[in-house]
Amino acid sequence: MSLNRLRLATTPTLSATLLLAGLGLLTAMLFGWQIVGDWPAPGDRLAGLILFYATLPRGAVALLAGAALGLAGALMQRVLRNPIADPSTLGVVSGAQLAMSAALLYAPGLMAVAREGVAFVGGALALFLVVALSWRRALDPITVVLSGMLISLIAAAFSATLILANGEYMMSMFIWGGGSLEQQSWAPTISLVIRFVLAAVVAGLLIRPLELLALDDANARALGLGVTGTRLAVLTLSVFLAASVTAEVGVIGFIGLAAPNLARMAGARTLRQILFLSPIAGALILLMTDGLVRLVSLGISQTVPTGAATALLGGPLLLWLLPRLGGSLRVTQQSVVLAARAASWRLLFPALLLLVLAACALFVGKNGEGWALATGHILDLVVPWRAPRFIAAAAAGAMLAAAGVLMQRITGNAMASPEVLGISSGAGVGLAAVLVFMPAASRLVELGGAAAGAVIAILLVIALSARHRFAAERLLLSGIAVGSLAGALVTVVMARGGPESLRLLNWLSGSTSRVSPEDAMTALAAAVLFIAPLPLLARWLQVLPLGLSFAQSVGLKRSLAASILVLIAALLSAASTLFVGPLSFVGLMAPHMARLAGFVRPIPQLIGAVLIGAALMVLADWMARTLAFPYQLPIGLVAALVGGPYLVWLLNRR
Amino acid sequence: MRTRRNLLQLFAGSLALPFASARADEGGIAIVDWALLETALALGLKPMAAVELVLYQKIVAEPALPDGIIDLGLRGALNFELLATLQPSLIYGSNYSAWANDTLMRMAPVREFSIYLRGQAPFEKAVAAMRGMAGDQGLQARAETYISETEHFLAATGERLARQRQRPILIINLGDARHFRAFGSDSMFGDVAARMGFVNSWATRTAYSAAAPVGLESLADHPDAIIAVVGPVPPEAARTLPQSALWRAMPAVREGRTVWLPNINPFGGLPAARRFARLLAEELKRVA
Amino acid sequence: MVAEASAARPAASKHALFDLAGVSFRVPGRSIIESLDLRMEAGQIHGLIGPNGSGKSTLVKMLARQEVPASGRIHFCGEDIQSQGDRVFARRLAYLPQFMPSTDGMNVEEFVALGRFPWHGTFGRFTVVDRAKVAEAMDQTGVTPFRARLVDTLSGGERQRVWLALLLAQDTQCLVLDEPTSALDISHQTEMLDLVRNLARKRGLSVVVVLHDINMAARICDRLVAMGSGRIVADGTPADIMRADVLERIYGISMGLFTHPDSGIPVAFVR
Repeated sequence: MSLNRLRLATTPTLSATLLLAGLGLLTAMLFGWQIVGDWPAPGDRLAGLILFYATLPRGAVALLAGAALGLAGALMQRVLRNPIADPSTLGVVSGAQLAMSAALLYAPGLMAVAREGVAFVGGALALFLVVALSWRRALDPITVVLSGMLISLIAAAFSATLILANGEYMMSMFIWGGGSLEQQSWAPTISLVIRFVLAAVVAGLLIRPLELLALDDANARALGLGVTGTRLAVLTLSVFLAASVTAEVGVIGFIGLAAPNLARMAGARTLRQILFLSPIAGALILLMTDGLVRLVSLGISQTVPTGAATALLGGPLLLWLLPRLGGSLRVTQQSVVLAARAASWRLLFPALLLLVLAACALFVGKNGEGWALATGHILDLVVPWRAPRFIAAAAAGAMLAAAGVLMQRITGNAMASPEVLGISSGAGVGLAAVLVFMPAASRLVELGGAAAGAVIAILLVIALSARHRFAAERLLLSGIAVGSLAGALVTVVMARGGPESLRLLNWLSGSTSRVSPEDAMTALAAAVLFIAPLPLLARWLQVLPLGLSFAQSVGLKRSLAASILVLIAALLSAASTLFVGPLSFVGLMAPHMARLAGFVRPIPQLIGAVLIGAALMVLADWMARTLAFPYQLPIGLVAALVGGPYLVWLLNRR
Repeated sequence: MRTRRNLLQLFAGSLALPFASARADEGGIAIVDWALLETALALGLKPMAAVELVLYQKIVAEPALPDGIIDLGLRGALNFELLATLQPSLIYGSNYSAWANDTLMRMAPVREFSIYLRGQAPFEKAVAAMRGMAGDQGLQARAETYISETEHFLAATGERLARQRQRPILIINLGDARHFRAFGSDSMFGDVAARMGFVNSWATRTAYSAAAPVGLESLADHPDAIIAVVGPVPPEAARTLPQSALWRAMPAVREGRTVWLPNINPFGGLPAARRFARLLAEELKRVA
Repeated sequence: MVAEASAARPAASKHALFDLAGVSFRVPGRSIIESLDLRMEAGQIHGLIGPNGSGKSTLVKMLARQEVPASGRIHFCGEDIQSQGDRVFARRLAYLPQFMPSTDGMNVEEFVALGRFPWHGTFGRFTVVDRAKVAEAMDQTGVTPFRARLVDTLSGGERQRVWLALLLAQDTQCLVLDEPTSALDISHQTEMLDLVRNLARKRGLSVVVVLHDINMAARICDRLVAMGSGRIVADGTPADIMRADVLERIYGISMGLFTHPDSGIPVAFVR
């Protein structure tokens, strides 16, 4: 096998080839060792069946799933001209998982007959949203991945809600989320073989148009290629591959990212080489990871799911790739939507809206019979519960919006938002650690754990991007990498399925219902404390979006300004994350809405975004509280569902 | 046969008790934990409000819910506002709802009874919970009757399964067609099976009543055991497993030592313990 | 403030504007500029010319402190260029990049006002002096009529003038311009470069400008420095450079010259 590879690669460096060959050898040894371990004693028919129906198909599925994801990743990277695209970074896997969870609960009959179809629809829908969000920025690689991350987070929040609301099949959904390669028959293997071969043939037919896509769209078009059609066909094919894998074994992350890069390292340069080597590399990586997982979990009854293990590799892999991506990830200049400017007095409108919504939140609600206006005695009873929620929601919305303004201005990227700093995921890891190691910890300890996790995450991101003077793409990619690492850790804890999983899910889905009056006041104080000084730094906010070089030529120390602003953004989102969960969508949306309402200069935009963010969250909280009364919806999800379609429309408006 | 009829009558009798209304001089009680809700209903108490009643009817099933209990929403996302307007006089919760204690105590005193603790057998704790609740409500006599009935029922049911309990039992829950989790000695099912005289085949330690999911092939490590699959079973697993060569090759399946039980609350109180014992006995008798 | 302001204007006559000694710049696997020595005088317009990839852009980026040399030293007005504070440096030298970023929805006046940042800093007040300097810069570049328009909606030529206004508002003694005319048609190129020359004369500025068009360069510059493969291949007055043999050495193709019928300046053409 390694000989073949040597011949294929035109300029393989010796060490890279050795690396691949070594990987292959190690994998083969690991798997061989498993087979030896499971080899039946003479006459032990059951052990023979286990070898034949569990061990061998598990290996086969690992190879096939790895190959399919490797191919899917290679195709996506090619067609989007994006070296960090893969089914997990683009949200395809999360979309497929969400669709499967929803179908299991609400259309079990459909799940029984059309599992792959359900997964495909979910994955395709997620990818469609990602493309819609980043279309106006010409599918610029970082913007695409940012959108993918956002869609993944929302899909995960959605899945969490489904799991929480339906206890029946909780275990199935945890297993999918973790991604397990366990087998008990050859049926999934056969299904994957058919699908992989089919996809490989189609990919082979598409090779010529794919080669042309290396040119930019205009050139490819000039050569007579239907660019949009080709892209659509190839993306459909990769979603098909990724959804097939997800349907059989659940979420397996980052193989599609790792495999093509490994293939490139081994010397693959042309499209044909990459398309040939990526599935091989993917198959080897997944089989090896699975072998290691089985090795580690020997003797421990609580296994780490394989998918969670590959996801753990994803964060470090992205970090390792960062310096090697070179200019291919340079952030393209954004085409700013030029809104008519509004006079500052118009800021009264969002302020008024906030007041109206606040009144709504306090006075209007539901009781056992339906909608009711709270007055008199009832009002006295409900206000102590409604007021803290509304205050915390408003404070969190304001802080997220301010953090969003800062992030978008520091990076000059319209898709940047607080969650790309990896803060909420870091807080999640801190909370998970507290829940696992100190199950009886008090709320204060939990808050402390979450805060510590957030601080560690942000320090990591700052450390990783400081060397590059906080260049926009480094900052964003470091945040994405740290975020996905932290997300994978949370997945591992969640896959254990214990009571801490439920608490984590509850936190992930985002809620204001636990907020005490003290919490609300603390959140409000944090909002005032961190937002109030920002207008003093308005000049930084004006200079930074123009880029590194401009800041330098007018004598602004960009590193200093960016690190201070990043730190403030981190504090803002950490504070809101602690009290109401990881609800970062508002942080993306509010700055856009403020800008499109005509508040363009830093201070009006900041004030506008803060007011709009607060109003959005108060509205979302009110809806979350009343729509499914007495059951409560997760506020972050409501905010995403209310604002998401509007944002897609805004970003694509001409 | 006679014993069985007697037992069933006894059992039915305890369910038919009229509901005792909460003490007249106070507001009603609210219950934010399913095991305690079961316990209260078994005592004949009718709480004014409790949690996640839609799913309760699917998974817990018995004791049946009387009409008129107000649903407080998900266990993990209680509707505090609604609860506050109901002005309860007392709230029952467990370690699973302890996260909400600070908030709940702003409305009414909270009584906490924890049944499921890491590495501890839950049956006695369920008994203690029932005694504690009965003590609060002046229903000691009813509690003692229920407890002794339950203990008697478990022992008697075990006796009737003398032949079956010569084999160890493996109590599992299916995640999908490829994974199961087993209930160990610190689970209610494991504890109840032990009280019925069974040896639990799952000897390894578990955390909070059930191990993390393991692969189906691990069933082969328990060749002599009876396998009891507790519902709910995912439809897809129910469809594929009977065709699976590996599943059919497992000794317990091959030799007809597998029973499928309907939904039972794995984190229940004494009523869940009783339901498990009854359903297990019925199914084992049926396949025998 | 007074001390700082005077520090920003060292006695230009005593020191060279730029003094480079043994300056090198490398990217992994390749050397862009190798051991360069160069002196540029204050008060002159220097044109950097040469074929693509000759290192002119890298050189101006080092002069503007956008890049740091791998070895060697650069003195600016007699001081080591790296030893000067960011804002102090930005009060002495203004830089126009080759690729100009989008201006984030700012209007012309707001954008030009950013040029005052080196003077007022993060917290300083925007004073009457600042306002006057902005107004003067906009006047001298003729952008005052569209002061309220968004920079991103302007035409290429207008936008270039707005950027020049920002550089003037910086109120420096030295301008470094990296291909300021590459996106412009011939009439706007001429207009832009004439504007630069007139303003340089009027304000007594030193200018370093990268230009592609040798004839344009010869028309406005006092001195031309020609680069090739990271080295200086020719250096002198336009008259020294505008010779067939020198031009052939610079561009590697055979070129000829004739005398402009109106101005009498030599004009180069490809044979």
